[in-house]
Amino acid sequence: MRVLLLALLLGSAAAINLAAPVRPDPVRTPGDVLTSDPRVICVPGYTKTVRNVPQALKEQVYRSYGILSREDGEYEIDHLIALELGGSNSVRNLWPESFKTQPLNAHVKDRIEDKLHALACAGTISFPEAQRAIATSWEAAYVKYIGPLPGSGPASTPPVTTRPPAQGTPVPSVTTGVLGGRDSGAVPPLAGGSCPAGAPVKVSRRGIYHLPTGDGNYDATRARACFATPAAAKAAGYRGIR
Amino acid sequence: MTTPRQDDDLLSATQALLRAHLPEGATLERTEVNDLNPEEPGYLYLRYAVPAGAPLEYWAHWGRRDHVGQTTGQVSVKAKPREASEAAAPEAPGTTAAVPPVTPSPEEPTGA
Repeated sequence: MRVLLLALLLGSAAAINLAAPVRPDPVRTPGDVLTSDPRVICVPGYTKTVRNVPQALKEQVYRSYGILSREDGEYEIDHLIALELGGSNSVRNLWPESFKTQPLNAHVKDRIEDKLHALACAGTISFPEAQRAIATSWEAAYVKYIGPLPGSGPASTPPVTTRPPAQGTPVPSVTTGVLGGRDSGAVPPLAGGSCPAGAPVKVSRRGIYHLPTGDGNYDATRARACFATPAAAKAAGYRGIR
Repeated sequence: MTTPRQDDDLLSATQALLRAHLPEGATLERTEVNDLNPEEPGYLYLRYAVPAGAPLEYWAHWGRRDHVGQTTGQVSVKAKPREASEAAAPEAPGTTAAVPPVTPSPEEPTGA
C-alpha cells in the first residue's frame, strides 16, 4: 500500500513538472516594452541598470499561472521580451519559465534572446521587429533566426517504430474522408485524444503531426487523427514540427 | 483590499517622495496596480519617461517609513494613521488593525 502511495506521489510530481508552461499565456503575458532605442539597449551592461522584479511580484506571477509549489531551480520568472531586447519589468511581461522541461526550456529561450539582441544591435533587424518576434512566439523566432528547435528536425527525430497492437486492445478501423477528405490512412483517435498502438503518430488540430519519441509536445497533443507512420501523415498533407 | 482613493494617495505620496530622486524632465507615463497586498513590495508599478535614456521603473507600497531604494526601485511610503471614522468602525471578528509585517522572501533568479 505504501509503495502504491509513493508511486502515486512520484507520479503526481512528474506530472506537475511536465505541465510546466513552455510558452506564456498571451492574455496574462502579452509582453511589454520599456525601450526600443538601440543607443540605450546596446550599451554594454545595460541590463544591469534595469531594476530587479520584487519577490512578492514574482510570487504573484507564479500564482496567476496556477503554480502553488515548486522546487528550487525549477523555474525562473522570465521576461517574455527580454531585458536585453528592451523588455520591461511590468507584470505584463513576466511569466514562469521552466528550466527542467525538455526539450524546450529557459536555456533554449536564452539563445534566441541573445541572437535577437546581436542582430538588432548590428542593425540587421530593428528592435521593434525583435520585440514583436519574441512576444508573438519565441519558438517561431528561434526557428526563423537560429534554426530547428532542439528535439525537432529530421536529424534528431528518431524513426517511429510501428508496434503491433497489444492483445485485447481494439484498434479502430481506418476511416477515410472524416477529416476533410485528405486522411486516407488515418485512424480516429481514442477517447481522450490519444492514439492506438498501431497508429501512434498524432495529428494536432493545427495539422502538425507529432511522433511518440523525441517530440516534447507529443504527450500534451490531443490527436484529431492518428497514423501508423510519419510518412503516412505527410502523404495525407500534414507537416512535422519544425 | 484598497480603495481607488487609497491607491491615489499612495501614488501622490510616491510622486512626492521621488521628486528629489528623478532626473530633470522625468514624467510619469504609466502606473499599474498589481494583485498584491498594498503593504507588499511590488504593489504599485510606476514608469517614468526620461528625456535621455531608458524609462525608470519603480514599485511603491505602504510601509513603516518613507524610503526610496534607488538601486532596487522600491519605494516605501509611510502609512497614514487611520482616520477617526475608520478607527471607530467595528472590526470583523478575527481581523486586526495592525499592518501585517512583510516577511522578505529569498530572491530567485529572473530571466532577462
